[in-house]
Amino acid sequence: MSFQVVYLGHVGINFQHTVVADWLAQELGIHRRQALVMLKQPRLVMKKGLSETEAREESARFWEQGVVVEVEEMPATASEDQQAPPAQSLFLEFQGKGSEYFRIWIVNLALTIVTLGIYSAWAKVRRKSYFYGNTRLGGEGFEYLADPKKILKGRLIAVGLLAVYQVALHFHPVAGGIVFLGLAVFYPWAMVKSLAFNARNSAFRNIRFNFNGRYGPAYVAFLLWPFLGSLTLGILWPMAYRRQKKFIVDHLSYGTQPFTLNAANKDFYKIFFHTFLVGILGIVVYGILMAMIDSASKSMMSQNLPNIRIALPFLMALVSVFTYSCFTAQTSNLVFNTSHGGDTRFYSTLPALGYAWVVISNTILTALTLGLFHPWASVRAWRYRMSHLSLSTPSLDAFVSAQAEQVSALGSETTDIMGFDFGL
Amino acid sequence: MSRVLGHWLDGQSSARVAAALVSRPEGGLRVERLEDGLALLTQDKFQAQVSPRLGSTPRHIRFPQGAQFVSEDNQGVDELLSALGRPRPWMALVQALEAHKGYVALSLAAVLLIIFVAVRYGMPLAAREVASRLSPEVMRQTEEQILAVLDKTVLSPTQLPPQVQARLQNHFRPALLGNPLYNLRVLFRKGGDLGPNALALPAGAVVFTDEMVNLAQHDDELLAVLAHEIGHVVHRHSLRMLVQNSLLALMALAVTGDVSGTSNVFLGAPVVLTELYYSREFERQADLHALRFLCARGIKTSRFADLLIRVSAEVDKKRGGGDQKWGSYFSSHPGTAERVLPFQAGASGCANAFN
Repeated sequence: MSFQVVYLGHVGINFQHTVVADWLAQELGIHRRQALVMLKQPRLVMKKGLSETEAREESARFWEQGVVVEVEEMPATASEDQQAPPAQSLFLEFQGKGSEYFRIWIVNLALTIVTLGIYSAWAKVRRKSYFYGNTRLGGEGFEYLADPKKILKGRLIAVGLLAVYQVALHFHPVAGGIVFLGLAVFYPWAMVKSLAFNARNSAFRNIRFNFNGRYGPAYVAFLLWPFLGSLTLGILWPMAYRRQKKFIVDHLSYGTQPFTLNAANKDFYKIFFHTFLVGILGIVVYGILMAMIDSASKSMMSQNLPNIRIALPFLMALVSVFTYSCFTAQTSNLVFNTSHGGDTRFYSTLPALGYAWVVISNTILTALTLGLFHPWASVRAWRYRMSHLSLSTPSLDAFVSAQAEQVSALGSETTDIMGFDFGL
Repeated sequence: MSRVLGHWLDGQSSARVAAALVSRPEGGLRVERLEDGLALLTQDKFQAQVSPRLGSTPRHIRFPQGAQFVSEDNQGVDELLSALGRPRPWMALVQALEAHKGYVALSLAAVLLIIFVAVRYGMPLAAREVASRLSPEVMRQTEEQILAVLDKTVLSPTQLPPQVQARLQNHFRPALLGNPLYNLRVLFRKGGDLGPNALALPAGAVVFTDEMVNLAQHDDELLAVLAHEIGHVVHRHSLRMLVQNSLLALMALAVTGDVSGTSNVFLGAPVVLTELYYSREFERQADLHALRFLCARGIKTSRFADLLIRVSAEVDKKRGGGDQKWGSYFSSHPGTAERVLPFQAGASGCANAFN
């Protein structure tokens, strides 16, 4: 009969999480960040395959250090229990530099303008290749393999659609509405195409990723569920959001290894609720500011208090950037921490406030420098994100390739120009 | 014989093998395993796709069967490739541009110059061309919507006595005639938050607020303002503004298409500033139109100045006295002091108006 030592989801009273995490990291040979995430799990098998005496000894050691565990009989069949990761823990590192990327970015811009936008496809490949190539995992970088010519074709079509929409919207609002509906129908299709294109053109160690989501479920996830969300005045939004993330992750794979998202609805509800509270707070603060300014002076639209009139909308915009960044960080953490591909697990510890600060300061600096800070901003944000991401896997050598398919670039370019972001 | 160190990735599994890429004395190349020298690939003639050199990212040499050799030694790879007789791809030119500080500076200067020219000159030109080609029907519809929104939000029905309205409409009539392209007419509304104001709508409707009418001490003052507003209509200023805004937003989006880790919010700043700049230009044009109108009919040009100064003082009073000069850049109307000068110049003002 074998026994296992199981973590029960909390640390001992009077123990600090950070101190316990430090010990756990050392004990299991993993990084502190990973240990912190592990301590947040409700239940985790720490050690298994032990005799009863060994298990009790181990259990005592864990208790001494503040990790609340209990000894259980090991189940006869492999259980659904999450396992403490084996020794291979790996970090994502970004080695790019702002000054280096600036050269690439500015030459991209110059050539794009000079070629009236044609070069933009090559510029995009160059940009993504820079970020992919400098993102290292176990010493090896990622690859972006897209063919610029395909991207160019997609962009030309996308620009055409955008022009039609802009014209229709400004001068014939009804026509604009019809175009908008058409685009709404187009959106899930474009989303699938784009996910597939980006996945299949991304590779690590010469093994490609893949996305095999189908259009039907895409329409359900990206059209039907958001509609339901709006219908219920936002109550079903977190569920809709979960559906979308699940659609993306569950159909993503690396070689033959598919990924799965295990997050529960309640996890998303928690995040949405926090965001809602922050949003309300923002509105209240804005309202107070407005009232203060109103009483200070009667503002008139023709001859106005110039600085305040301009400052307020920007202030409001920064508040919404803050709220959105916190939201993005939290959902990204949730998705990574509850996704796995076989024995490969992810650990994302992106601090919401930290990330929001990075985005806000990036925004302000980029505005002040009329856009020139942008390359440093991109590098900074990506590096920050990568430095809070790691994974554990038995072996990086163990993955196997699957058959690749060609995908047209159209979907990808369309969602790019419309500014939709749907990365994990 | 040149030799580059790196890893062999066969494309079947993610396992990597420490390897070296060597050029063969008899031509072609060989990839051999570092551990024991085993040949993983041999080619008589170089046949592979090489990723462009990009900063210090690893270089990928992709062979036809799907396997690849990846190396951190970019310089070594370049040397080996030229030893193998492979021609420099055009992308190498781009890499050269990025590598030299001089070219980078040149690119920066070129980008700034082009954007400046496009925003300062290209966009207004494009907007003017587009706006001038819009049909009367489109202008009429746009005007309807704008008026509906204004009536719903900031404007309310006029409280001017009917005799006053009738008298003014009569006084205005000569100015409203003689322009078949536009349906010139005057509407009265209570301004509320807008205060003393006059608005020109795209198809020819000019809205006067009660507050403006009540501030005037002579009907010619209002006539002068009407002429200014008609200037806006005739030059299609509001339509040009709409078109310019969309073009500006579109261009800003295209230029910074790859925003990540930043928010598109910052796009607002230069857009707003340029918006304000354009509208100041339009005010100058409308002022000139008013000046010419008054001079042509022998009406005292100081009428415009009088009302403008009075309105400005009224607004200042309500605002608690802001600094007009500093505000000038940020406000949509150029400073009042600047504006009234040509109107106070009497005969010489009129002489200059028609230059």
